[in-house]
Amino acid sequence: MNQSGEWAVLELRRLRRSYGDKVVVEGIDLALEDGEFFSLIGPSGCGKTTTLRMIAGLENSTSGTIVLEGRDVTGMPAYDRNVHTVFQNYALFPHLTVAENIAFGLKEKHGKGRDVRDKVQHMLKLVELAGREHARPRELSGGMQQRVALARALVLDPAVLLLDEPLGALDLRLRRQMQLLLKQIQHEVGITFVYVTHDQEEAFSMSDRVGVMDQGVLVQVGTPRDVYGRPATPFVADFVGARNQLTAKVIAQEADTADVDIPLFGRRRAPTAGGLGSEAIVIIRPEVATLARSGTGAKFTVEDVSFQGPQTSVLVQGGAGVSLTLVRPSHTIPAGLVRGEQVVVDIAGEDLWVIPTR
Amino acid sequence: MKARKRPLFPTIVLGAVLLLLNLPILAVAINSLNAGDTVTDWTGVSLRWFGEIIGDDRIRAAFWNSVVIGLLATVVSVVIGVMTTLAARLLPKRAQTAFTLTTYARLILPEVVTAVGLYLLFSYLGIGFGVATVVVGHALFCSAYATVVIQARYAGISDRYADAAADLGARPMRAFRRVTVPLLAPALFVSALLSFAFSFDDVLSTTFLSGPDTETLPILMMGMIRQHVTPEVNAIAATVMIVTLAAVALLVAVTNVRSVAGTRDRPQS
Repeated sequence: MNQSGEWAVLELRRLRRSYGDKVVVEGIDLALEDGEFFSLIGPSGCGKTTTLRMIAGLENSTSGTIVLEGRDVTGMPAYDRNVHTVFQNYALFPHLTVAENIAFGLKEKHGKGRDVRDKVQHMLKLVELAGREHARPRELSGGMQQRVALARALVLDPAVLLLDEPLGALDLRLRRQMQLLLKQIQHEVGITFVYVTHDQEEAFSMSDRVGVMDQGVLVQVGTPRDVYGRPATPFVADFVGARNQLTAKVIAQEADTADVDIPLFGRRRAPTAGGLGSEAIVIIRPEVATLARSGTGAKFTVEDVSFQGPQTSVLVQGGAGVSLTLVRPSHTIPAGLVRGEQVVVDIAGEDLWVIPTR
Repeated sequence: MKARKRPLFPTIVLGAVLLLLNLPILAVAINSLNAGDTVTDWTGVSLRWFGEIIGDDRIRAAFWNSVVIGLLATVVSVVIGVMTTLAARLLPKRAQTAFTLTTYARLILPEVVTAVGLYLLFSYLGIGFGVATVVVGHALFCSAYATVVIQARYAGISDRYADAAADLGARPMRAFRRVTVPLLAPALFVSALLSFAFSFDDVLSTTFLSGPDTETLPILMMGMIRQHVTPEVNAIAATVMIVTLAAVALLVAVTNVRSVAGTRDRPQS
C-alpha cells in the first residue's frame, strides 16, 4: 500500500500502443497519487480510451510499463488486476439482477454468502439504489444503470477505478446530478478515479488534475485551473475553451514574462512559460477582455450578442481579420447592445498567456 | 362505441390457410383413435392402436433408436455450433468468410449428396453402420442449423460483456460459464430443439447410414405405409406428436427460457 507516499498508486512509463503503423498511444508518462480524481480529456480518437483499457488490462500495450501499487502489472491479465472499470455503455449483465450484478466480482473473489450480501447492501445504499436489488438492468433508467455499474466496480475496492465516459449517454440534467454523486462517492470511498471524457467542463468540475491528450500524446497534465489558465499548446488552449488566439510579435522575453506586440491592442507584458521565438501566440480567455461602448482599448464591431443568463457571450470583429469571443457577466454588458455597434475592447497584460507557435 | 369490425376477407383467408396447414395433423390425431382395421373404415373410437404399438417390440425399439440418435445428434450439434461460433471470431476477416461458407455449404447442399458422401467415406474406412454413423450423418446438417442460430445470437452480444466479466475478475472459463452461456441460452435452447426435430424425422441420411440392424421410427413408418396404411401408423405419429409437445413444454417450464432470454417484462415500480 501507499501509506508512506513513496510510490504513486498508478504509474505509466513510456506506455505505447500501436496497430501496425498506426500509433494510438505514444509513450505516456503519468503518475497518480492515492485518492486522486484524475481526468483524461481529449477529442474522440485521441487515445484516451485505449490508455484506459491498457490500465484495465483489456488491451495489450506495445511497449512501456504499468506499475500498480508498486508492482509491475504490465503483462498481467485483466482478471488479476486490482483495477475495475465503469464502462461507457455500462455493460451490465442483462441476465442478472441488480444485486447479482454487484455481487459478480465478489463471487469471483470467493466472497462468503453473508459477507457478499452485506457488501452489496452497503453499495446499494451508497449509490442510492436500495430496494431495487431484484430489478433487471433493463427495467432501470439510464442513470440507475450507471449507478449499478459504479457499484459493481466499487464493491471490489479497487486500487484505481476507471471510468470510460460514464455519463456520455445521459441527458444534461442527469449528468450534473451524476457528476455531484460521483464526486461525493469518490470523496467518501477515497479511491483513485481515472475518468475519461471528451467534455472538458465535466472534467474541470470534478477533477483534482486533468491530462489532455491529442493524437496519442499526453500533451499537458495539471490542475483544471492550471490547464485552463496556462495551456501548454494552442491545441490545449482550443480544447479547453480558450479559443481567442492571436499571433503576436515577441519584443522581449524574461524567465516568466514576455513583452509582445498584439495586433489591434499593441504592446503588453504577459506571463509565459518561455521558449518563445520571434513570434508567439497570445491567448485571450473569453472572460478576461473588457467591453464598453466607449473608453480606451481597441475598436471592434459587434457581430453577435448571445444572452445566456448569468453571462453573455459577444462575438466581435476588428480590423485585420481579428475576431474575438468574449464571455462577460451579463450586468457588465452595455444595455441594448446589438449587432453592428462599435465597441472598445481592452485587455490587461497579466490576464493573458503567451505560448510558442506550434 | 361499436367494436372495430374485423375485415371479413383477410379473416377468411387466414382461417382457411391455418385450417389447411393443420388439417393433416388433425387427420392423424383423429385416425389414431379409429377402432377399425383400415384408415378408410371408421368403426368407432378406441385406444386399441395405441395399445398395439406399445406392445410391439419393433416399434418400441425404433422409437428408442430415434430418441437416442436424436439426443446424441443434438448434443454434438450444439457443441459444434458453440465451438464454431467462438472459433470464428478468432480468425482474420477473410478466413471467417471461408469458415462461414463451410457452415452454409452443409445447409445448402442437397442432403442426398452429403448422405452418399458419408456412406462412401464410412464404407471406404471400413466403419460399421449403426447408431454412431447415423448420429454423424444427422449432426452434419443439424450442426449447421445450430451454428447459424447460435452465431446470430452471439453477434448480438457485444464483447463488452466479456470485457466486463474479465474486468471484474472472471477468468476466461468462468466468464464463459457465468456470462456467455447464460446470454446464449435462448439460442442454445432453440438450436437444440431444431437439431432434435431434424434428426428425429430424418429419413434420407438415416436410410444410407443406418445399416441393417438400426431402424428408426420414420424408417419403420415408411416401411409400414408401403405395405398398407393401418391406423397403427397414425397412432405412432400421434404419440410422437404428444411426446414432442410434452418435452418442449417441460423444457420451457424447467429452464424458464423466457427469463433466461431476459425478455420478460416486469412493470416498473
